[in-house]
Amino acid sequence: MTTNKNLPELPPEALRDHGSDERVDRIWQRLEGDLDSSRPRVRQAWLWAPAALVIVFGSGVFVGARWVRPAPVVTPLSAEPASVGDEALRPGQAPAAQEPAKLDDPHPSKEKKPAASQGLLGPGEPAVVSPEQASPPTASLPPVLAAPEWQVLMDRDDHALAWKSVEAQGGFDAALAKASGAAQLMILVDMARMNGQRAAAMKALRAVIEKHPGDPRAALAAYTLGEMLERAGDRAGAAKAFAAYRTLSPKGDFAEDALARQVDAAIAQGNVDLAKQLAEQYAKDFPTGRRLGEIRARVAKLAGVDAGAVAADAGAGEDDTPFDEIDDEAQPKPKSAPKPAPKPAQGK
Amino acid sequence: MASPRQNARLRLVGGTEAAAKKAQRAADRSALDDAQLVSLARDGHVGAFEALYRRHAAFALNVAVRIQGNPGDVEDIVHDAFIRAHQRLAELREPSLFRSWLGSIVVRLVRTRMRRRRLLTALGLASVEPVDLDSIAAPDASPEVRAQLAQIYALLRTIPSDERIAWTLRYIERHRLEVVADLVGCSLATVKRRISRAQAFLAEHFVPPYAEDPA
Repeated sequence: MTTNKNLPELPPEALRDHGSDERVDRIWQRLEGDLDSSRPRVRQAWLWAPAALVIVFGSGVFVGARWVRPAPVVTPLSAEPASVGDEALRPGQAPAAQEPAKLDDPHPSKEKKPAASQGLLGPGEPAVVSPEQASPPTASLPPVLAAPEWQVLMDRDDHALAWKSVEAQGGFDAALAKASGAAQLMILVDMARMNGQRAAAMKALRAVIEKHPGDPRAALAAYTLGEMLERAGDRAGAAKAFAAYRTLSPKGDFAEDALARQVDAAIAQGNVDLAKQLAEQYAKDFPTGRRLGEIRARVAKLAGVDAGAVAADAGAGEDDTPFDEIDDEAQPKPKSAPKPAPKPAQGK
Repeated sequence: MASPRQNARLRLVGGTEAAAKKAQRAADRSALDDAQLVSLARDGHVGAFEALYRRHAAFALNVAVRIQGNPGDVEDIVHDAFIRAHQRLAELREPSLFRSWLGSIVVRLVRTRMRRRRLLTALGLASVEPVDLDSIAAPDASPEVRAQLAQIYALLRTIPSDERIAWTLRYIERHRLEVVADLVGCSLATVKRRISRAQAFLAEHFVPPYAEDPA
């Protein structure tokens, strides 16, 4: 069983109960009327037969159009020497081109693994399949992309080795450029973070946002980027990332927190106008927001108004937000009195 | 057998005398266990089937919503599940296992709906159904728990339906592995494998909302 140290225990009381009396009664009213007529149904296959035929035929057409294409005619006028792939396409010679590979295979009955994976697993084997090892490419089939080595290693929770693999194969930037989608980029983010490569992780997060803004992961990437930048002290960058989150997911689960943290950043930068504008936006979007009172008070204080009166007027006051990382320059925390040095124990 | 809460559910409030008698009969039936109710329902007693329905409707609704991650068509699913159960009551070999049998019907219907929805989405005929956090989390759930649920459900959407269903039944619905196997209609080993895969994915990608960055 995989470690689940990250996963929280979800208490049953945290889940909504849908079995309200009204709902149960409503369904029963429908059900009661239908029960009289509900008898074991005779399967009327003839009703489905035409639809099934159409589906089968359509699937055949689709598969045929997608995968089965006529073999391209080799033009004899080509001045270039024929490549391995071209030879494979010659009528009658394709099986011959694959024959040596079969003969060389010491374990012909074993299940074939993807070549790239095989290279990764062996200690001294190359990760990338050499052209000599590769089977002759055919023009009729699209290339099948094997998962890169670092991804295989990440799947095995071997983060350190995955990082080394990325470095050995052209570096993190190259892996970023080759990543095929948001999912792969997010794996790169995880890998970088696991290896303490904060800058690389942020670079990958930016790539997710910029290259795949339509992907559901993009919003989460923006939020994560904002958090990382905030921790790194880049308030302006964090504010931009949180703004990006709100653009990508205006009604997302973290929209309120993202906006509140934009206000935090504006206050930390002393930008009164922006802080006011964002605070108004917060009040408009989240009139019962958890941080409404506190935000109003801080913005008012920044603007030179009596913060206490505004906070009392707002009445929200419950500052239980875990996101509240208030800039200490703007609002110094009351420090508790230093504890006196412990006295040496005295014998009774 | 029935809990006080379930009995209370059977009570009709402010009805006529006939309704009151009906409620009394329902309450009497609720004292019977599932096997007895199934036996009566097989003989054509609609009241017995109603008692079964009222006893297990909330379970069916919760399973459907929590697997889907939203309340879409959930009443239709539960309605269809009970209709199907009524039609096939004679096929139930062990009447005392009505609940898990019903659950397996609900799970099958939900899975079918999810797959159909996915196909329609792939064909551009439907939009992706968003996760409805309010339908999953209790109204008084803490922000931390809501954030955790939001992230977990967002991740669950990216894994295959079978793994998602098995994991949800195990860790959200908190059923035992044997019960999960019954509900999804496959072997214990298969269920373990599915849950393990989903668990590995979630453990790898879940980021505790307020955890420190390891970097």
